[in-house]
Amino acid sequence: MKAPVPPLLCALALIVIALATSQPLVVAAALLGALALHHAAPPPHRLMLRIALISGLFIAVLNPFVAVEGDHVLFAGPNFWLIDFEVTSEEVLYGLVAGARLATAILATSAFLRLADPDRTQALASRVAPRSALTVALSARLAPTLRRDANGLRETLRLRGTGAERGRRAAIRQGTRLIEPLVASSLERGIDISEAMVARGYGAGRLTRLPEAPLQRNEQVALLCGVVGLVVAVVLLAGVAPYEIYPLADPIATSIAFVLAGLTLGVSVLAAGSLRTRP
Amino acid sequence: MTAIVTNDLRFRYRTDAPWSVAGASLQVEPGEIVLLEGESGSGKSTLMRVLAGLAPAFHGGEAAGEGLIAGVDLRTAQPAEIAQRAGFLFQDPETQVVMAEPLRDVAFSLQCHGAPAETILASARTALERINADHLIGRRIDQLSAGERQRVALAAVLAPEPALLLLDEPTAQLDDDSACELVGELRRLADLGLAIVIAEHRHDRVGHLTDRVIGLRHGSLVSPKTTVPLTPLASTPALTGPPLVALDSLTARRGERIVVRHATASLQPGQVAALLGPNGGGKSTLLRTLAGLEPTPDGRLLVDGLDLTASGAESRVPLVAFVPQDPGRTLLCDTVRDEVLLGPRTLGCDLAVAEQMLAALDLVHLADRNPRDCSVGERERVAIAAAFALSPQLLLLDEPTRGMDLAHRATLVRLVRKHAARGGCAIVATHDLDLARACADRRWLLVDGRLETAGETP
Repeated sequence: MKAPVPPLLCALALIVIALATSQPLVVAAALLGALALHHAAPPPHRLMLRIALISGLFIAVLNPFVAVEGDHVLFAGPNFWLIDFEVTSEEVLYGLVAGARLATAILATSAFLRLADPDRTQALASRVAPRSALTVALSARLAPTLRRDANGLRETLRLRGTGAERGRRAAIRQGTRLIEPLVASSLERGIDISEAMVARGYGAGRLTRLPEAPLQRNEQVALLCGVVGLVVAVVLLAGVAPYEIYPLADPIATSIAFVLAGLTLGVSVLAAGSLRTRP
Repeated sequence: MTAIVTNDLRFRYRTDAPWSVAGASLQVEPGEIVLLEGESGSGKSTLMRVLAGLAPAFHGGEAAGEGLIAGVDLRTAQPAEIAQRAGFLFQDPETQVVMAEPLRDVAFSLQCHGAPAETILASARTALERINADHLIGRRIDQLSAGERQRVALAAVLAPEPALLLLDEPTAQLDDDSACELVGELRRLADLGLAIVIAEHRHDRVGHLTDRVIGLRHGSLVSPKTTVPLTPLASTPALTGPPLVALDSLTARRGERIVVRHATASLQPGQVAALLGPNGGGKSTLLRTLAGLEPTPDGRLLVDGLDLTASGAESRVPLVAFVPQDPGRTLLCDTVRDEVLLGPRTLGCDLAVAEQMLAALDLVHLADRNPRDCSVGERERVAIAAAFALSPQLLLLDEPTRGMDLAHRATLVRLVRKHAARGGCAIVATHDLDLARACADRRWLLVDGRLETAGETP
């Protein structure tokens, strides 16, 4: 597990870059960068990747049917209530960009949560926002605990013989069966963790801050990459490479877009390589 | 200053419920070790929580009476304020953990007590060394065994050196050597002036160091009962012929780590094996592998002539039934009865057996209660009843006596022997040597990933 600041800056830079521009090349670079960071983080990989892809694709597919903009008509169809069957290339492009933004945000956030040491993240939070430290601590502890509880409940189902049923319906039935105990367990766990913190003396007075361990060389490289990424984000926010999709999409392949996309992808891959967790 | 003074202290979880702590008047002096004994559900953990100021603060309910904890008034003080004077070890070490890494977790206690920053990590390391847990530094707590986690939790409680220690079953997950070391450390601390209250079912482990024993029945303080150790029941002569259970060069792994290599062993019908070994030795992983919850990278498992190596847990039941460590966290149903009957209903087993198990394990009066409202020991019994209700051939029990009083441990022994007498087999992973002696006729020792099966009765 790594110091929280380098992966935080890298993830933040990618999210801001993806949100700061509609330039497809740059957004695509941010998405690829987030994927690299996601693979550098410890498992589980597949679940978050699936969530990111499904969410992104959903937005990409939905946009052409709810937006009524763009000049290049690809398919002319009727309007049906809220759904617009006239699809333009700009709507498709905007949908792809929006989907990529969402997927980038999901992957980058998930990568940060899995890369950063939760204990040091908690210490950082108590330094930056002391009043939110308890919430951060609870969230940091609760997420993995609930994941373990969910696994335990699934195992109990198997041990009672209910996991033998196959098929989608059986899977849904089993999933539904887990909801209630999982909700009850999460409530119980939330109380347990806050009780444990208080029983350890949390909240009685000022918490002593532990001296932070110095960054390792690979963390320093990742930190530098994060800073460069944030500079790219600031450049984009300053409107250095403006890009409009509606009503007519600007040219995609411009030299400035290639430079910014290359820089985004380059620092992301370098950061991912530096932060990579070996099994 | 007196560590604990209470006068007619009372607490109940609901205003219409009977008192869970019913008029406790207690005085504990510095340097004194007091053992609190009572059956499962008698109110030991609740009394400890009230003394730590955590009930009613975190559990709701109603409190009455007076209490001073190291000079702090229970009626007016905040729980965190009491925690500065009284260290509290939860019954479930899983609950105790706040951080993800042992050194950080112990350091958290010191941070909360305002220890100087430059001394914290060294003090945390010393606390872990004192209970032989410094080798765990750097590992992730969620990947530690229950016993290892309990050691970390203990170090976190001991590190700030409070005036009073409230320990709820501190040795429940520890192997004998660790328990012995802990007991010595507690005596040393008491000699330095710490007051210690221990709730523990394992009197054999802590009884000799205590200055006083107080009984608790239905929330009231009473004279303690004389404890009688478990008596070994006559083992059934094992049947001859092919073994019912055979492990053939079986390898078990947890995640990517191989923890048991090429285990070869067998049990004839009617035999019970006690699986022994130090904390973190791989006992739970081996049982999980036998139950089908972990993949088998190498070797074979045969039960009743069937090769189960490739089948998952859902295909092994009801032939194999497993009670994992800390099963109370993962109970599924709204009532105790539904929980015990879930497996038999799903698999079409005889429901009468399930009803018999409810009665045998003293769960009838809890049958309509939500398992989450039960104590740790009661939840453990629910999970055990659910496993027995499947009438399995091979029964796997992982530390089944946690939170369980002597009477219920004796019941468990009887049930295991009865299961063996019917021709079934059982493997019981435990640190409770009394239990192992009483119910097992084979000893399987797991050390450094190797299974030694030469021993007879442990």
